[in-house]
Formats: sequence, structure tokens, C-alpha cells
Amino acid sequence: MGKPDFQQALKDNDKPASSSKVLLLLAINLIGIGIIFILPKNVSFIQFKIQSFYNTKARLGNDLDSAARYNLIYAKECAIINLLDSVMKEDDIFLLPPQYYLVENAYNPKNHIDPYTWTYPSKFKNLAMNKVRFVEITYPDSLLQKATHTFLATRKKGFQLVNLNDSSVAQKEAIIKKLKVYQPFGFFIPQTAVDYLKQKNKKPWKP
Amino acid sequence: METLAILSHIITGAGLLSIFRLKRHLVAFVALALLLGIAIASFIPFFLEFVHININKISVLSGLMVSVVIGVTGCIINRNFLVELVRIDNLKIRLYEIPFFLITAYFMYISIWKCYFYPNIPFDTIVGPELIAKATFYEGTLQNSIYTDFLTKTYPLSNQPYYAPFIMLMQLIYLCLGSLFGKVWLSCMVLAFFLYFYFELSYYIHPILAGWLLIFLWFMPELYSYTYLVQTDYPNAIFLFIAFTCLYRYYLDEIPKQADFWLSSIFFAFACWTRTETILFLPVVLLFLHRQKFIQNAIAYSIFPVVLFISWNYLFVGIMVPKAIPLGKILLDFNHYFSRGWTTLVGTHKIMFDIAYWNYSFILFFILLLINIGLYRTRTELLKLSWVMGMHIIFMLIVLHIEGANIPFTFRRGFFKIIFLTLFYAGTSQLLINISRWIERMVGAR
Repeated sequence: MGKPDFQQALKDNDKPASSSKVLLLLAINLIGIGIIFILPKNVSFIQFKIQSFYNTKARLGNDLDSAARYNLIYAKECAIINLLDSVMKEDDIFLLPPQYYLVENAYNPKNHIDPYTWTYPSKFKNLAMNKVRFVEITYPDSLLQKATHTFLATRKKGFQLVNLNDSSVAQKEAIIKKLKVYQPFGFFIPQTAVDYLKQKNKKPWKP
Repeated sequence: METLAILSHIITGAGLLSIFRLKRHLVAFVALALLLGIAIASFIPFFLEFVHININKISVLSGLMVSVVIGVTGCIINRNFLVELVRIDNLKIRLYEIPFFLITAYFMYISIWKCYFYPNIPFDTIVGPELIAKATFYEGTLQNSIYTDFLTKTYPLSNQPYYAPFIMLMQLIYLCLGSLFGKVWLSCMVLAFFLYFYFELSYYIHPILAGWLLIFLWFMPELYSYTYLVQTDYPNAIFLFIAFTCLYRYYLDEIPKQADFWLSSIFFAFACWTRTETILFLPVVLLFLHRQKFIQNAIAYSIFPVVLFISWNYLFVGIMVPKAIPLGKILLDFNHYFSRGWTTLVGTHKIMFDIAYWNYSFILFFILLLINIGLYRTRTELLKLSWVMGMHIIFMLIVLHIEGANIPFTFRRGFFKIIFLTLFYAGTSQLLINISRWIERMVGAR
């Protein structure tokens, strides 16, 4: 097999450089790299992003197990799912409350940073997967009637887990009816929830 | 187990590349082999599904073993080529190139750590590809309850579970192999891509200039984030970049090599396997086939991409699993078309020139472009520029005519494809080629 074409093309300038020329190229290269590194945006990228990642790594160390690492991102979601998992029996079914219901009744913009995004069904499904069986408020009534647990929200207490089996049929229907009033989902970041609440609570203008 | 999987990707890819007798710097060859091997591996769960074998650790491992056997067979048959490739002058790395690898290691190390350490975060991923991958992992079939039961009832309906399958399949493979959060494959792709990028540009211009472009590639905050966040856009842009580079070689060579042509077609198909809308960019790629037998070459080039596009979007989704929502709905609203078009143009330019996303990279391209156009107005330069501009125009049409496509998300992340091409344009521009020649004349060697 002959010499590869792309090397043929470079053969004139691919001769080994003398050590002094290599050092000259190294110096030119380092100067160029130095200039790129001191550009203001690049400096802040290194300082505030890359270096902060290195600092985080140093802070977290190497001893965290998988559950702890998962909790770093999904602490709240894990706590909710673990609570449901511990309380519910194998045949129990959780009724996933609408996000608008929780935001309108339990969201405190001063304390909350996550406007209940865990109620997004596909996200909840991913995180709960084999642990929690659940139905959504948009499901047919026949399936909603099988729900055994849900969260009810109050402004003072936040949201609380309730066992629907403890309620009468009429009470259960009333709860389902109440939750059906709300739009299921719509906020991905806290600000949209805050904006929504501001708009909703705005008093009508009076002359 | 993950290390063995990565090794299996390299062997598989090397076997196939040696069949193509692809001549590259050895590091670029290994990087390309890894990327090819990863893409090939993503078909294993699909194959298992079609032959009705439960998808689990043993079956996935068996699939990887089969691909390794095919790879080894390819290597043995083409051993003379491989021996030639591993010659010392094809391995050479010069002293002044070492800073580039140290800088790459600095950025890459923490990216790998973040990728390995944290679970998946991007919303699109956890409600789409990862959801499907997890369900497949637990149920052993791609026709799982998410498609057959959950998505037919859930609200709100979203299209993420129907995304082109590459990242879902890779997540699935690595979950089956025991990887905690799956994502190891992404770091491998990123590292392989950066090495390939550098050595590919070094083929055209002086390694110092190629290395400086490599550093600009690292210094893009938006792009860097996706080196450790699993999303479809980055792997898609990588595959598309390779497709363009192979086709460019095919175009430049006096006697075009069929290996470059077919590899380009295959990597373009992988790009469609990663993001569905990539198929719409096919006309832009085909521009470089105009020199001879255009129709025949264009049809041949399109076979792999179209087959993969149809396989996922019309055979799997829709026939093998139900489609809960209409996908890729085309909007034909021409009211205030020019004003909306103008708004789209302005919006996309704001993204392109936003240095918070790309630092100085796009501005650098723009300056080089102006100088290059001023000095060298050749057909090749024009065609290369038409890749960049053609992609931009098609993106604007996507934003205007595909439901759900938007500038802040679809274009911003889709711009990865374009920004890679802009650096490729810069790295193969006549301006930098002439500067390289000048450096070589001054120093007397590379």
C-alpha cells in the first residue's frame, strides 16, 4: 500500500522541524493561547463556570453513593415518591394533583423555588416508574374512582397526603370534582407561576 | 462493563472503517471508529426487538459481542491497511501541539465527571428519551407500556417520547450494562469529536491554527453545557459535522473516494437517527455532489438517511407503537409572512451573535468570513458558505412552518449544527490555508 494521499499532499511541509523551530512554534502557540484565554468572556467562563465545577467536585468528594447523587438533583421529588411508596400498598393508586391546584392553593413565592414541576406526568412517571401507580385528573371517571391517595393543598399547611379510602364516596367525588376545576399543568419555572399568581390576584380596577 | 462497551465500539468502528480503507491520522481514525461504533451499537436494541428477543443485559452484551466479531473480522481482512495506518509518521504529535491536549483534558475532565456523577437533568430528556429507555429497561421491550398505555392517556401530550431514537437507545444500552445514569457514552462521543475536529482541520491548515479553533470550540458556554447534559442536539451536530467533512474531502479530491461518499451518507443517516428534522437539511448537503452524475449520486446518498428516517417515524412510531399525538405538523399560514419571516431572521441573528452563548466563536467566524470573501471568491468557498447559509435558511423555514419549533429552544440548540460548520468553514478557508503556508514557509516545517 502506498503512502496515504493526504500525507503525500503534506510531504513538502511535513518534514521534522529542528528543535529550535519546534520551540519557536511552541512559543507562538502559547502566546496565541494566552491571548484567547485573557479575552474577558473567556476569563469569566473559566472562573465562574469551569472552576466552579472543579470546586463543586472538590466539595462533594468521591464518597457519595448513587442515592445521594440522585438527591442532589431530585431531593424533593425523591422525598415525595418515597413518602408515597412507604404509605401506599401494592394495589393503591395515587391521584396526581393538577399543578395549577397546588400553585393556586399552596405556592408561596417567597419560599418556593420549584412550582411543583414534579406533577408533570411524564416526569413523575420517570421518577416514580415502578414505585407508585398513579392516575391523572384527565383520566376517565371510572379510573379516577379507583384512586386511593392524593395531595390536598392549603395555604397555611402546604400540601398534605390524604387517604381517599378514609373518605366517603361523596367526599371522594367532591375532591375529584374540585381538582377537575383546575388546569392540569403549565408552569416549568417559578417565574411563570409567580406571574400567573400576580395576574390572578390583581384586583379589578375601580374608578 | 462500561469500559468494555467503549472498547467494543472502537473495535466495531475500526473494523468497518478498515473496510472503507479510510486514511486519517491514527488518533482521528480511532475517534471516528468510536463514533461509528457507538452509532452502530444503537441499533442493537432495535434488532433485538425485531427478532423478539427480550432486551436485557445478556442480550445487549451478546449484541455488542456480535458487533465486535464483525469488527475484528473486518480488521483481520484489512490488516495490511491497519498496519500501514499504525506507522510512526501517522502517529506523530508535535511538542507544540501538546498544550491543545492539555487544555482539552482540563475541559473534558470536569465534563466527564459531571456527566458521570449527576442523573439526567434536561426536561426534554427525562420526559422523553430517558423515560422510554427506563421503561424498556424494566419491561425488556421497546413496545413498552409508556407507548401502549401511558402516552395514550396522559396530559399534557408532548412529542419528546417520539424524538428520533439515538439517545434513548444509547441510554438503554448503558442502563442494561449497569451504568447508573447511563450517560457515559456522551462523554466518549464528545472526546472523540474534539479529537476528530482537531485532526481533521490539521489536514487543511497548520496544527497551531487548528488548535486555536479547537480552543474556541471549548470556549462556548452553551455548547459546553451539552457536553455533559444528554440532549439530542449535540450528538446530532457531531454526526452532521462528520458527514460534511467526509463529503468535503469527496468534493476536493481529484479522484473522489467512494469511502468518503458512503461514510458521509452513513453519518448523515446517523444524524437523522438522532434528530428527525435533519432530513430537511439533505438538499444543503447534496450541493456538493453537483460535479458529476448529480441525480444518481444524490439518490445513492439519500438512501441511508431516508431509510432510517422512515424506519423510526413511520414504521416504528405509528405501526409498532401507537402515535398519541400528530408529529411534525406542517403550518401553512402565509398571513403576514414577510413580517414573520423578518422577525424570525432578526430572532435567529440575535441568538447567533449573542456572546453569552458562544463567547467569541461566531464573531470570529464572521470576521474571518468577511476577510475571506474580500480576498478569495472561489466556487469552493461559496459552496462551503452555502452550507452555513442553507442550514440557516432551512432552520428559519422550520421555525415558520413546523408546529412547536421556536427560536429560543429549537434554533438555539439547533445552531450547534451551524456553529460547527462555521468553524469548519474557518478552518478550511483559503485565508487560513494561505496563513498556514506562510507559517510553514517561515518556519520551514510543520
